[in-house]
Amino acid sequence: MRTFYAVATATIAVPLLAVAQEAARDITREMGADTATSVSQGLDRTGLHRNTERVRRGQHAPSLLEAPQGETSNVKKLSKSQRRQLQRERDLLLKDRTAAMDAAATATGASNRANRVYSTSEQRTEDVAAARKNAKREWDAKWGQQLQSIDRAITQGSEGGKRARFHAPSLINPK
Amino acid sequence: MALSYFAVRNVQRTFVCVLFLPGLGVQIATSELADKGSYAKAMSEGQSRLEASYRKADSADKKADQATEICKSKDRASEIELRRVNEEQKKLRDEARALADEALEYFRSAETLDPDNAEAVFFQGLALMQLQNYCSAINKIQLARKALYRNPKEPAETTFALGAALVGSSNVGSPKFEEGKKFLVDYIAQADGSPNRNKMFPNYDKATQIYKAAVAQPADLLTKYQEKNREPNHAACPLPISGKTELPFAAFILSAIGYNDNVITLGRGQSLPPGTPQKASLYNESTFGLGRDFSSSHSSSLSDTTGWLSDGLSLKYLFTSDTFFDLPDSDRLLHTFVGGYQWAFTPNAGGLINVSDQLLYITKSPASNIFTAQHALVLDFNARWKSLLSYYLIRTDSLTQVTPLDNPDGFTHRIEMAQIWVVRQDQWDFSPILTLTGQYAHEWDQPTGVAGQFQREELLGKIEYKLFHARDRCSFIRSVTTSASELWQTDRYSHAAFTLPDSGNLVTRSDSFNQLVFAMSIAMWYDDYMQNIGVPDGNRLEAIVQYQYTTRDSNIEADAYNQNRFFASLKLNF
Repeated sequence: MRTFYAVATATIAVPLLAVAQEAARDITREMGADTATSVSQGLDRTGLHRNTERVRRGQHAPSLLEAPQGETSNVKKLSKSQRRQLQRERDLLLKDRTAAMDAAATATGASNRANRVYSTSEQRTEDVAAARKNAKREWDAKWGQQLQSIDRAITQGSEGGKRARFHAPSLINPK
Repeated sequence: MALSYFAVRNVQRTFVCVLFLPGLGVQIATSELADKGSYAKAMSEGQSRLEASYRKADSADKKADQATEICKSKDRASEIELRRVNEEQKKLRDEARALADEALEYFRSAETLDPDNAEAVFFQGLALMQLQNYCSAINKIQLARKALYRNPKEPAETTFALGAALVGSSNVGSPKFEEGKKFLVDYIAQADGSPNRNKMFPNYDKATQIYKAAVAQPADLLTKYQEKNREPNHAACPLPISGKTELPFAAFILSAIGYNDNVITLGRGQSLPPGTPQKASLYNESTFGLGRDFSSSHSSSLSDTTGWLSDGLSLKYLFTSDTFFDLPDSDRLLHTFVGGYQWAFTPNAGGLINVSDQLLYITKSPASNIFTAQHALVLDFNARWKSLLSYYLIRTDSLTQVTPLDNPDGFTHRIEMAQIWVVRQDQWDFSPILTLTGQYAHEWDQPTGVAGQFQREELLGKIEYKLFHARDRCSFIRSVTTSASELWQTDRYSHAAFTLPDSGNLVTRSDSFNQLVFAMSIAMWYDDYMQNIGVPDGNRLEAIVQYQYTTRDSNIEADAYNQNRFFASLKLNF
């Protein structure tokens, strides 16, 4: 009999206590912190359901200045063989320029000796430097544009459809 | 004699004035020269810092290009290299930012030295742009223009700067975006009409590129959206580098004032328990939250867009307290710890594990501990449909003394299916405007003691509508969102435990629970730090109001109750 009453009491009491446990979950829901659901009621004010409740939205549109979507260049990216070819042409041109400058320097020395012009070592150095400079200028006048266009092709080709980068207006000298 | 005294005095006075005033003039002139010198020095220092910042930013851009190239190969070794390059990029951007900060300070001090000179104001605008503080930059540039600042060597530089700042701080669909484009067009037109374009309009190429990018933005956003629609789980490669934040985690404080007309869930028509003066009370709810999301990605041949799929780890802690002014015995505190990890198997399917532990105190005494583990299969069919199939294992433990027979502690199992559908999207940026959510769940428990076992069927329906969202960084109101939801629960207890008064028969308890919630939130005050830490609208402040009506019907009269609950809250993110 005693056992019966104990069980009966427990059977009545347990639903109440079990409800007390359910009340604990109800309380967490009221406090905006129900973790036993994927979807919050009302608005997800604590952010607990951000990973479950929200559809992955499209990317936040980036600022055009931070990730500018500049016009894709018409220049295609160079292949390795194309780049190697351009590099070879560039090296040949540079070699030719160096040779022209060296030849001008040598000719200046020989000319000085032939003319028996008395000159100090400083003057001779100056003469040679001036000759090299002149030779470089003459060479640039003939072949400079070709060298520049090769440089440009190499640079643009490696950038391919490189996006624009923002630069603020150039700075002026302070008053 | 008196006359001569005064005459002498006058002469002396005049003599002193003649000596002193020029001296004062010299002093003023010297001081002006010194100020001009200090001004020039401050401007020069600021400009050199700003130039250095541009160079650092250029180097960071080159690292970004390098990272993009690395992304194209998708092997393990390249992931390590990518991480290294991204770390270098971040370091360079931080250095660029620090230099721009220093430049800004120099320009500010220059302004104090020569307040009438708008040049310092304009350069503050340039420094603020470099710091991506576009709203303040726009204000400064507009002030300089209003003061008719004009560099004779580059007459249109303020036009370019303002156009770039407006376009940079807003998105397509915003009037400011269109205004920015007009300024850029104006700059380009002036340059085209100038015989000395290269010298006087050095940003001609940049203006053209930015303008073309602005014109192309709708198409770019559509392309990005179409990629996301096809492969919702794909990750951008390289992953965007998060900007500077105030703290290494997101935190918030929420404080609400509310009214609950039935705090103790007293049954309909029932008398108040002894010692309980009333059932209604005003209350304060305060919440403190901390959290951090870690994004990562892994290479996958299943992704056709970037070859990378996104994963994420999330950690959160919440402390919530409800204080009832008229019913202090109902005061409660709740600690919540949550950790979650999700990973993508395919571009459309992924897994999710969420683990949480909650410690509930009632009137400062520990009452319950609830441990929850959620395992979910997440299906993102496209950018508008999402389904979750979840299994929860919930362990509840009472922290008060119970005897073994009446121990209600135990496990609850829950199977849940949730469906989320974005019915309507924004026409420009494709963000959700109208979202419908449906959720069904079935629960059953296994208590330790003699059972009050129950089975529960649950249905939840929710509508969320975003009335407004800002299209530029400078608007104070970021978004206005409303929602309405309804929850139905039906509980059937397994064991007959109650005696009907009329018949004396034992009955099992069964309840029907219904809860309606209406809520509205207004997100305000854009802050880059909030955007960088992952607050969805980048807002510092949020006002939330909510009304909730609950009704429970039960075959046990004492357990049937109604409850109205209202609260208004303010949330501060930091």
